[in-house]
Amino acid sequence: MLETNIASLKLKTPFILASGILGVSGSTLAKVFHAGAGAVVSKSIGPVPRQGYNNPSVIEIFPDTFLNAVGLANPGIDEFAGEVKIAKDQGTVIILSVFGGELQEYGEVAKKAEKMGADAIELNISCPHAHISCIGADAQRTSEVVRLVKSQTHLPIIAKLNPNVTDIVEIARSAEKAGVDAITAINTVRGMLIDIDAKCPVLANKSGGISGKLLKPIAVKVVYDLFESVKIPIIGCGGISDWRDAVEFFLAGASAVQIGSALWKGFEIFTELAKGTKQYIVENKAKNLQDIIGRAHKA
Amino acid sequence: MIRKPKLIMIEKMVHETKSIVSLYFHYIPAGCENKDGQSTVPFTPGQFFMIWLPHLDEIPISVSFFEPPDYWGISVKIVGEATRALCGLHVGEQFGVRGPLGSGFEIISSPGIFFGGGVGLAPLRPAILRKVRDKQKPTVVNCAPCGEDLLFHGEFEQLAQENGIDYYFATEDGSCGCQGLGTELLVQVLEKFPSKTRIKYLAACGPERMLVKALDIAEKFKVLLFQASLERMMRCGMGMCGLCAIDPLGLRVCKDGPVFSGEVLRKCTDFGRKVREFTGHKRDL
Ligand SMILES: Cc1cc2nc3c(=O)[nH]c(=O)nc-3n(C[C@H](O)[C@H](O)[C@H](O)COP(=O)(O)OP(=O)(O)OC[C@H]3O[C@@H](n4cnc5c(N)ncnc54)[C@H](O)[C@@H]3O)c2cc1C
Ligand SMILES: Cc1cc2nc3c(=O)[nH]c(=O)nc-3n(C[C@H](O)[C@H](O)[C@H](O)COP(=O)(O)O)c2cc1C
Ligand code: FES
Repeated sequence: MLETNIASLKLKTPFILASGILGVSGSTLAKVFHAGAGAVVSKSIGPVPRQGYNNPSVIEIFPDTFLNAVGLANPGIDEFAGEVKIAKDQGTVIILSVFGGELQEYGEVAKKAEKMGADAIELNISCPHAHISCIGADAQRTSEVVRLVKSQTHLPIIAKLNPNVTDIVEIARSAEKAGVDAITAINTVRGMLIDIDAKCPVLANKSGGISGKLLKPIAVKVVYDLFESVKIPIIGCGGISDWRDAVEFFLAGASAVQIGSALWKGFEIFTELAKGTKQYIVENKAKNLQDIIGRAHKA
Repeated sequence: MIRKPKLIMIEKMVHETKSIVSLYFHYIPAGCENKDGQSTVPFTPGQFFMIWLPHLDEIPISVSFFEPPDYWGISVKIVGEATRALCGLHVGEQFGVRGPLGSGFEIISSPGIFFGGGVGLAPLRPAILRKVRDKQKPTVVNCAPCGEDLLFHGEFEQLAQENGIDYYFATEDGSCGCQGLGTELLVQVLEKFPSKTRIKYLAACGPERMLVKALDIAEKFKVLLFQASLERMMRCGMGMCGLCAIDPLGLRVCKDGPVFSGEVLRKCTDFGRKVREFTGHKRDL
C-alpha cells in the first residue's frame, strides 16, 4: 500500500532519512533503515575530509525547531566507503548525498559512490551556509551539475533544492530539463540566533539553516508549487514529525518524504508514520499511497 | 526544555587540583522557567551540559553537582583551549549552558561501588551525594596519577568520617593512598566484600582503557549491573547529527548514553578501541 518509486528506485515505504541526520556511521544508517525507513540518505560526502564548522553547530531555537551549521563535515568519499559497506552488508537502501567544491568533483564522488554500491545519488547543491549553495541558486549551474553527474553514473540522480532563492520553480525546471530523476525539497532555510546577553550570534558560523517544525509550511508550499510545474517525482522534506505532516506532503504532491530533525527523539517515528498513513489511506477510501499523491490540487 | 544555550553567571569557583576547577552557578534551562521561577527540570546523575564559550567553542561537560531546584556545578580539567578558557574565568563572569542532556546512571540499591579515574569522578559525584542523602553508604574508589590530582579527595575523606561511606584511593606514584593503578585497588576492594555478597552495581568513569579493565573486573566478580560513562566528540548533544555514534550498534553517546551498561558495551567493538574525529573519521583510541 505504501510502495513508491523514485525513478528506478523502488521503496517499500515512502519515508526516507534526510541527509546529515545520523548519517555519519554505517551502523546507525542500517539501524534507521531497519526501524522502517524506505531508504536512508547519508551525510553529504565530498572528495576529501572536511572538518566543518566549530561548535556551537547544532542547537534548538524553539521547541522542535533547530538551527545548524555543521559545514559539511565529512571524512571524504574514500574513507566513507567503509561506512557504506557496513550499511549495505545489512541490506540498507542507501542514497549517497554528494557535494563538491568544483562541478567535476560532484562527478568524481558520484562515480565512487556507485562503485561502492550506493542505490542512488542526491546532489547537495543547497547547503545554505556553505559556498555550494550558489550552485543551487543558479538555474544554469544546476543544470550543468545534473548533466555532468548523469554522464558519469547510471544511478538515479536526485537534486536537493535550496529554498533560499528567488524562484525555486525555475531551478527545478532546469534540473528536470537536464535529466534529473527526482527532486528533494527542501533543504534548510537560512537563519540566525543572537544571544542578547552575549550580544553575538550563537552558532560558531554565525548563521545556519533552520530545520524542524517551523520549516514545514514553507516546505509544503514549495512541494505544492513544484507539483504543478515538474513531472518528475518530488521528495518532500522539512519539519515532518508525525503521520499527519507526512500526509500533508503527499497531498501537496510528494511521492516520498524525508525525515530529519524529528529523529532525535527516537527511531519509532518510522513505524508510527507507516501506521498512521496506512490508516489515513483506508479511512479515505483510497487504494494506496499513489492515490493520494497530489490530491490537494484537485479540490 | 529547549536545548539552546543560556548564559549564566559564575557564583563560586573551587580549584580542586592543579588542573581541575569546579564552577558553580544558578541555572534554569530555557523553556523550563515556570511562573514562580522554579525549575521543573528532571536531572539524573551522569547527564551532561554543552558549555558554550561565546566566540570560542561549545564542549560537553558532565554535571558534577546539583542541588534542586537550580544550583549546579561542573568540574573541568584543562586539556586544551576551551577547557583552559573556562577554567580561567572568574566569579561573576558568564558562560552558556545547554541541557542537561543524555541518559544517566541507574542508581540501584546497595551494596555498590563508584569508581572514578581523574576527572571521571565528576559525573559520579551527584550519584554518590544522592546515596549519602538517602542514608546509604556507597563505596567510592578514586584514583589519579598523583596525590595532587585526586579529585574531591578532601570531600570524600570527610564523607567517610561523617557519613560512613567507604572511601578508597590510589595514586600511580604512591604520593597519596595505595600505590598502583585504580583497577588494582578496585580488585582489592571487591575482594574485601564477604564472598557471598552480590555486588549490585559498579558505576565507572575515567579513561576508556581503564573502563575496559573495570568491565572485565565487574564480570569476574559477577557484579549485577556495570555502568560506565563514555566520551566521544559531540556537536548537537541531542541525538541528531550522528557524530558520537559507537559501532556496531549505532548508539549515540549523547542520547542513548553517555552512560551504558556492561551488557551493551560488550557488544560495542568500538569500546576501548575506536573514536571519531570531527570530520567523522574513525581513529584508534
Ligand atoms: C559526555 C561527556 C562528558 C564530559 N564531561 C567532562 C567533565 O565533566 N569534565 C571535563 O573536564 N571534561 C569532560 N569531558 C571532556 C571534554 O568535553 C573535553 O575535554 C573538552 O571538549 C576539550 O576541549 P578543549 O578545547 O579544551 O580541548 P581540545 O584541544 O579541543 O581537545 C582535547 C581533547 O578533548 C576532546 N574533545 C574536544 N572537543 C570535543 C567535543 N566537542 N566533544 C567531545 N570531546 C571533545 C578530544 O578528545 C580532544 O582530543 C566530557 C566529554 C563528554 C563527551
Ligand atoms: C544537523 C543537520 C545536518 C544536516 N546536514 C545536511 C547535509 O549534510 N546535507 C544535506 O543535504 N542536508 C543536510 N541537512 C538538512 C536536512 O537534510 C533537511 O533538509 C532539513 O533538516 C529539513 O528537514 P527536517 O525539518 O525534517 O529536519 C542537515 C540538517 C540538520 C538538522
Ligand atoms: S552529538 Fe550529535 S548525535 Fe550525538
